[in-house]
Amino acid sequence: MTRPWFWPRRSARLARYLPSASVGMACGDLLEEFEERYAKAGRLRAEWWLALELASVYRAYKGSAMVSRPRRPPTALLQASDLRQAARILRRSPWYAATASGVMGLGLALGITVFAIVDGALFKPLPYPQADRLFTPIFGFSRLPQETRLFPAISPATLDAWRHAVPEAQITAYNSSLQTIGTHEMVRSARVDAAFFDVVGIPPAMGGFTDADFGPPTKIRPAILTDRLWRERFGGDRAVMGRTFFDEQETGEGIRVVGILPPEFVFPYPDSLAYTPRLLTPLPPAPPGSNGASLKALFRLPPGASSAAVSSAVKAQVAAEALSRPVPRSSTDGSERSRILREGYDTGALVALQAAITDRLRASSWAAFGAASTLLLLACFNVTGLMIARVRERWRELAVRRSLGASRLDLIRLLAAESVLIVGSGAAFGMVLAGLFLPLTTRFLTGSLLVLKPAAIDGRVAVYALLASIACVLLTTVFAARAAAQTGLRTAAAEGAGATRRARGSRAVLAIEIALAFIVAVSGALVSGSLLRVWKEDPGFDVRHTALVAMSTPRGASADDINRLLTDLQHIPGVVSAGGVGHALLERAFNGNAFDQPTGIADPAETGGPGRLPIESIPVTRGYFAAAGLQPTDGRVPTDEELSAGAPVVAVSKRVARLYWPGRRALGETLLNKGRGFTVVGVVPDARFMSLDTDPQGEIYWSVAAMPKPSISNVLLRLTPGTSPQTVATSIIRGCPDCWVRSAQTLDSALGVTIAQRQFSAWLFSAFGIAALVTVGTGILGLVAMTTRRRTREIGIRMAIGATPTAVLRQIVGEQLRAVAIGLLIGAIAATWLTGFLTGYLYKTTVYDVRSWAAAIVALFVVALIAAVIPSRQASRIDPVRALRAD
Amino acid sequence: MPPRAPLGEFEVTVLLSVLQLADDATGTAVRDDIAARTGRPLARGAVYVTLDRLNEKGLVASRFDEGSPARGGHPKRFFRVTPAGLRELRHSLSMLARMRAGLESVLKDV
Repeated sequence: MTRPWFWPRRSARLARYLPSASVGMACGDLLEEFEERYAKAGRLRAEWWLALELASVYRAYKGSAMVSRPRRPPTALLQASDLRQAARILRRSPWYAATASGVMGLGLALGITVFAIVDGALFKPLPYPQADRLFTPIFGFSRLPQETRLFPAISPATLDAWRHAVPEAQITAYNSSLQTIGTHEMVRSARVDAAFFDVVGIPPAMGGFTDADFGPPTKIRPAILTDRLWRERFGGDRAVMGRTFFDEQETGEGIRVVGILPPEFVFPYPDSLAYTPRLLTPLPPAPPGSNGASLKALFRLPPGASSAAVSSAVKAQVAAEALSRPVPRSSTDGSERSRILREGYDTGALVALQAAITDRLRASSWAAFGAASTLLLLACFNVTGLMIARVRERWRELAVRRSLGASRLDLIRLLAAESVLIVGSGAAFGMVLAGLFLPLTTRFLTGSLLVLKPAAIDGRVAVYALLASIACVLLTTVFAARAAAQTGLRTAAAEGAGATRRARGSRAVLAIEIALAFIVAVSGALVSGSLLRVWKEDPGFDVRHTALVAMSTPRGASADDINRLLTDLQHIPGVVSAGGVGHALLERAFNGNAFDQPTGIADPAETGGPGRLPIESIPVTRGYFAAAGLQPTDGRVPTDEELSAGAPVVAVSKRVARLYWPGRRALGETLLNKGRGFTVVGVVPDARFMSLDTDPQGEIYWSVAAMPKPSISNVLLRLTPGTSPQTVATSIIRGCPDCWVRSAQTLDSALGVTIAQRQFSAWLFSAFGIAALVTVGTGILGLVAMTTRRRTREIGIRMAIGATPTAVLRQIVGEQLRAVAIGLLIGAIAATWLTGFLTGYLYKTTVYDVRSWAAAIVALFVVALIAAVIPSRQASRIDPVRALRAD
Repeated sequence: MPPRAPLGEFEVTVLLSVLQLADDATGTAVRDDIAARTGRPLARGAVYVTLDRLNEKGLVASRFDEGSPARGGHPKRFFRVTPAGLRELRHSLSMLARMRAGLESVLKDV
């Protein structure tokens, strides 16, 4: 039999309109007659007939009130028609729509950007296969709180002991280095052992090391390039595989490219993520009996192996090592804490790599996320304020809709549809903005905030944006619907009465906005104020044209070897002076004091009684004082000859002189080192050896040559203007192939790296603060513009009975500023509690820093004032006659 | 019980047609019957909706027979006038007759 066109759809439609008992009848009758007509007159005529018949049936049943056809139940769900209607309404107020969605977009963009970073830092799994099986050892001090945990450098002997103790685990060892490519280029590199790729689980995309590569070092070292280096330096050319780059043709030393890593490869440093190597070379086998701690370790446990068991094996090993260490001679004096630190770590554990990374990032990530969410909430309240103002402006339209039969639910759906359109377009705008913000932000991300997992706008970020948008739609709709309901009640009351009462609701929203903005603004002011304080600090060093090369002399080098090396360095073209330091420099490390403290010195702050002051002794070589730019303030600095010979003379910093010999001149005093007397020959300024934001500890400078085992770990170089540290580092490596050069940078940037995280936080929180001011400014502007337009009549009456424009202006602005004041008060109360989370970001100040609070209050007040004055001025200039004619 | 609203003109027509058709009163048959007797084309929907309304008021009842392939498997629906329907019809017609009484000279041979 023949079916009419689209019959299933048409019969389904019949079923919607007709009572169920009649559907079959109608369908059957129509089909039967269609068949007959089809046979007689053909398809087209039959279809035409059917269309007319169906139309008559629909018309009859639609018009019939008596027949109970199944009606669509009233629905809270948005209909396409609601959205169309809302779009028409918004098209009529383009400025309102643009402001609201623009503000929403800005808030969402910041929220999305920060979420993408925080998500990358905290929640995303690490980009390694079975990343949960990767563990890293941490060491600590059983008698000190947890914050003193370390990611240790371990010795080959420790590594062997672990391999022996936990044979089921795969353990890889690596360390960082610098490597030249050709004669002039130097890149950060990592030396990895044979197990590295098995443990990490990401093999090279091309090539790889062979077992022979891990044998004794050869002149040509095999190297695997990272994808980034391969693309940036070699333009992604596959022909680079197998090529050799000579450091210097004569010596025949260099590297041979044997592999390229895949783009997704990231190096698994748990502690210093800023240090991303560009190429990998094989780790040479340790010489027998070597126990210098220079290796980092990473464990991969087989599925099913208990990390707790391996962890306790690590702990036992660390404890055994701690017991076998000789007790330092000076451990009988000094404070408990410094004695514990001097004795070395005595406990260890194995922690998941993911936890090791996220633990450090958790606090800062949550603070940033909290600030971004507050800003997002602020944007939501902003849109809410604008919507409420608009609902009240539109009370007449809404009342007409109600009287024409729209239910309350219909009106709420209409408001929700408007909100969906505003927030939705804002979200789209925000996603685009975030796409621009994210690369900018990640470029500024340094130090510990740089994460192993790249931040990206992906599905997870989209879900966050969606959830945030839904929450915002709900918030705005609930408030706007409440306002609409109140407006509905008031239409019954006398028109125009309570215009000011209506404005009160908007002002409450304004106060909430101001409160939220204040919390964000005060956070920004506190964190960036702290950065300014750090910047103002004098590092003590002369940073102009000074380079810091992190390098170590070969083990077993004598004092003469070191002096010879320094003399050689001084002859490198571009080097004015060079001085070695046998001490960690700008690495946030405190290395202790080899000298006995003069008797009778109390340090009540640390011990509550006689104790040991946290003063460092720093072994330096010839040329150090010239390179560091330290001029004596009293006496003289040790001469190059004294330093080379290990003469028993020292220079002390001002702090040491003040603490050790208060009220006296330090010159000529004697300090004891293992019973040997050293004479103070001069006093120099204090220098920040640990980081730019750590106060100088007080330094005693003595000669590297006087150390029992002379060694240097850093070299300071004063360069001629225009000489790059990299070039000098290349020459150093060429001149001293056995030296281990880890990095080379200007002293200025080395100081910058010590406060990189602080700089990033300040940048982030200031951006939040500025965004909050912009958001609240546009919010007030829109709000005041709408409320004054609604009160045109009231303003007209005031002016008609003699109010001057200034008086009107003062009244309107005054009303807004009262709300601002209330908002500031609420914000201040909330901020006293919330800014507590910022303590870690602050430098030499508390969260109650008067200047930061004053800055935030003044900034908000000025923004609010400007935003309120602009539309109010316009309102106060209207012609009273025209105003009275307005509705 | 308050008197029920009197039947409408079309309802009376449909009820009469169902009586005329006795056991064959399907929707289509009623429409064709009325169209044949009154000589005016009739919308199918009007007949259906009226039959449904009468059914709802309990003035007609319906039964279904087996569906045939020609009807796409849909059953045929046959209507019959219920005793209540007959009573209402008599009431409506007698009302008309009473209203008609004395107007024979005006209405002539209707």
